[in-house]
Amino acid sequence: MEIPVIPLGELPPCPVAPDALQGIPRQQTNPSRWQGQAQWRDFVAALQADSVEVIEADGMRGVYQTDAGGLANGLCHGVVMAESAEQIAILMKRAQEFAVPVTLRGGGLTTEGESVAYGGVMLDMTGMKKVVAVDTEALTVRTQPGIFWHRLAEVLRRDGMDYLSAPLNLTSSVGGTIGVGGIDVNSCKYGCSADQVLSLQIVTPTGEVLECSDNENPEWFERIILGYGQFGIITEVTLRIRPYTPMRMHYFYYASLRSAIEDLQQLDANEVCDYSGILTMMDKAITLLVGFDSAQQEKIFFDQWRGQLKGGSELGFGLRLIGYYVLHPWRIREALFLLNRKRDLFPDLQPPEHMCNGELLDRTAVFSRAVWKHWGHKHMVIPDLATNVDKFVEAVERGNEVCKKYFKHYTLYCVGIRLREDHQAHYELSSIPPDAKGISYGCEFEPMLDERDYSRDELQSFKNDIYDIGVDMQTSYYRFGGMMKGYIRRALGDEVVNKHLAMKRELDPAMILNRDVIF
Amino acid sequence: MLYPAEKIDVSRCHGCGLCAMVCPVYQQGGNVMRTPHGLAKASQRDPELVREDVFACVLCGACAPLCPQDIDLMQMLIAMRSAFSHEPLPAGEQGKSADQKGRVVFVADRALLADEEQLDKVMDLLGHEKAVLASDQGDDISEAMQSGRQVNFDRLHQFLTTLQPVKKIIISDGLLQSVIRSKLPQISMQSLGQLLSSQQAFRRKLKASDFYMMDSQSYHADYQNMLAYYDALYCETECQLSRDLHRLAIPTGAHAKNGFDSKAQIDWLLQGRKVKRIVVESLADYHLLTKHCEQPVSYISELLP
Ligand SMILES: Cc1cc2nc3c(=O)[nH]c(=O)nc-3n(C[C@H](O)[C@H](O)[C@H](O)COP(=O)(O)OP(=O)(O)OC[C@H]3O[C@@H](n4cnc5c(N)ncnc54)[C@H](O)[C@@H]3O)c2cc1C
Ligand code: SF4
Ligand code: SF4
Repeated sequence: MEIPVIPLGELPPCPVAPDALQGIPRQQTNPSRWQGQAQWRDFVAALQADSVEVIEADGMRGVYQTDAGGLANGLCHGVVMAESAEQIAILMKRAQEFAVPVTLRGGGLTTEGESVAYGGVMLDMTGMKKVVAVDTEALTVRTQPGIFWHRLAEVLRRDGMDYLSAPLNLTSSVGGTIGVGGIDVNSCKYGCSADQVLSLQIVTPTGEVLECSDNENPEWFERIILGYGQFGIITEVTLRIRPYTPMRMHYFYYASLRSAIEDLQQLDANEVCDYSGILTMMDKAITLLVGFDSAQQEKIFFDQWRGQLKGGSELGFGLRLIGYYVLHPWRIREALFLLNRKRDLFPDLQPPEHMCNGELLDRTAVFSRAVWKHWGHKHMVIPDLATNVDKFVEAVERGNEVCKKYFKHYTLYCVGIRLREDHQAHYELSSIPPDAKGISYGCEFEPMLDERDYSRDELQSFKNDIYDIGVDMQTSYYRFGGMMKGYIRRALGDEVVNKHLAMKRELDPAMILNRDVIF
Repeated sequence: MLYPAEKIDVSRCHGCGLCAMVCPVYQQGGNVMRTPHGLAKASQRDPELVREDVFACVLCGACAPLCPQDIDLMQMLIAMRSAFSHEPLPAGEQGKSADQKGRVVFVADRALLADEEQLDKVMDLLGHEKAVLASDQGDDISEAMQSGRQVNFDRLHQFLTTLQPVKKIIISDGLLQSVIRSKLPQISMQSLGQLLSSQQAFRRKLKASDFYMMDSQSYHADYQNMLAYYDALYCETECQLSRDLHRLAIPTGAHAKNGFDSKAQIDWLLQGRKVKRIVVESLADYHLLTKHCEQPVSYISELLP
């Protein structure tokens, strides 16, 4: 096979957008649509000759028109359902040959259009969703990448096992998550999902199938993990797993964001909890969630740490709030909002059918449903910031001010992410802030969009304002996406970007794999 | 229109994928177009685009309780299938007379109606309820919905009219149960599975090594109540239930018509479980399981004297 030399002018000298400046209003624009109609038919014919089916039906293409964010729209020319590494290898060889872009999609839960194809092929990885083997002794699972975390949990439970950490949204796929991170309420203990990976089978952008891990082809392993699908396609994954345990969950209530964060960080630093996170309903009503896998750990918490927390019990906090609203009766609407929100949300976090003796049996199912029910919208607007320990309070407080500017009601969700010293190389182009050591922190800013209709521009401006904080504080985000191209140079610096761009050019000569996600 | 238009407003689908996550057809085939997610998204562009794929659904109902947008997915699926079917259901010949006012009637599923012996046994077991067979069983309607033929709305109306005066309906057809529940909400209704499994004589015989196979259509037709009911059954007997982590009933696909691999589905149902006996609520599941499983299979009535 001959890999073509891409004619000059086809790609700009640097496909990473020049830096965007603060103060200049930027709205997201979709990347330009691939204009390759001329070679498309020949490309499809070549694939057909190789027995790779390309679905061009309108209905099918339409399903992939946007991602969970709902703000970016693009139509692919055709869909390929992933079937095997061999099939994908053929696809990639042909795509290089004809210079046709290939966009990867798992659950499609990105929010900045990273899993939207602006022309070319949409490669739907959910076609590959079998669990290959569960090893309950070595505590590992080998799985295809298109499986949803929910299904993986379902399969593992039959053997009394569980995954370590996964996004709270279980319709995301294992492969897609490994490409971007994957933060759970137990990431303070286990780190992100990408850090649970022991080895991968991948297809390279030029169509080679290879196995990689910390020991085998480590340079590939480093690039693929947290690589946003830039450097290869994950076709099989070996993940660490653990014996299943139900979760013992407790909430503590705060009126100050800063106090809640300080307590969260103290608990994480001392590795007190198996699960921890902050969820806000309003600035005045902040919840610290802590959870445990065992009664023993729970007891240690209550014996040694509970007394040091500044947060109160539900009853105590409720009485304080009542006192406040009695003295501020003109804020009655606020009180009603809090009351309604609590009444609606909290039962869904502990539904009776998923509880047994005070323990939450299936956090996987419960959280996933609650997320969609209470925050789901046709536009999922969840910009985020990730920082080291020291910058976190400032980042959250600044983000909180931005939220106030745009929305009446919103939620902040904060979690710690344990880092692995030996995985520094994986983090290089990722959402993990370069200056974080040991643990980093992430905060998602989630507006409630039901109150009125927001224009696409308003929503994107809000997101940009949050991202600007990240640029200004020289920190990071959970994930970079299409529109993040504008930030990547300032966020990570020329040296890192140029290094990865050079690698990308070498590994993906036609620059066709997940084009416009970062490069 | 059989169902209120706003209930099947596909524009409300925001593509969360929760329905696909639990859909057995999607798990087997991996084609998103054959899930409510794909069907709704494609319909948003052009309703014609779902013409073929909507018939892959086995109408198990598992997707329905999950939709965070409260789209009535069962009604959506049935309505879409009916709209694209070329085989109209002929006007009914049954149901000429309405059922007696204040009676308890039994609406049986097709498999049970075809098995006289089992039907007699079930009617005996319903003796304490003084139940009689409903004059119109509506099995032609159920068959039409299941196989994706056009539902004749006059016929459906006729069927529902016969049931209007009754006091209580005992039913073993989960599909009809969801239709009756939405159209005649004032009438008390109980599934046959729930009624029989609530008897103490039955519960005494159910053990932790038993795999209790719920009828997925009946279960999802009354999901909120069934959750609590089967939790209690589990607490009392510790039998293994055919539910997933979402507490949805995993179907066998016994009614499937379109290339659904029931054998693979049964393998999945039993994967990793230590099962000595399978107890089944639905006779259609019973037939399928006896064909594919090594373990002894009992129809629910067999555990009762
Ligand atoms: C409501 C909601 C809640 C969320 N909650 C969380 C949360 O709690 N924690 C968290 O971490 N994230 C969360 N996210 C973000 C989301 O979970 C992640 O973006 C997600 O894990 C991506 O998985 P996916 O399968 O949807 O990937 P996709 O969106 O399909 O893809 C993600 C990226 O990976 C690439 N990709 C996909 N498959 C492969 C593959 N096999 N090989 C290589 N690259 C691939 C894609 O091209 C894309 O660039 C949430 C998102 C939403 C909408
Ligand atoms: S009814 Fe069952 S088979 Fe049909 S779409 Fe819903 S979950 Fe899938
Ligand atoms: S669950 Fe409802 S909203 Fe979500 S994808 Fe399915 S139909 Fe659409």
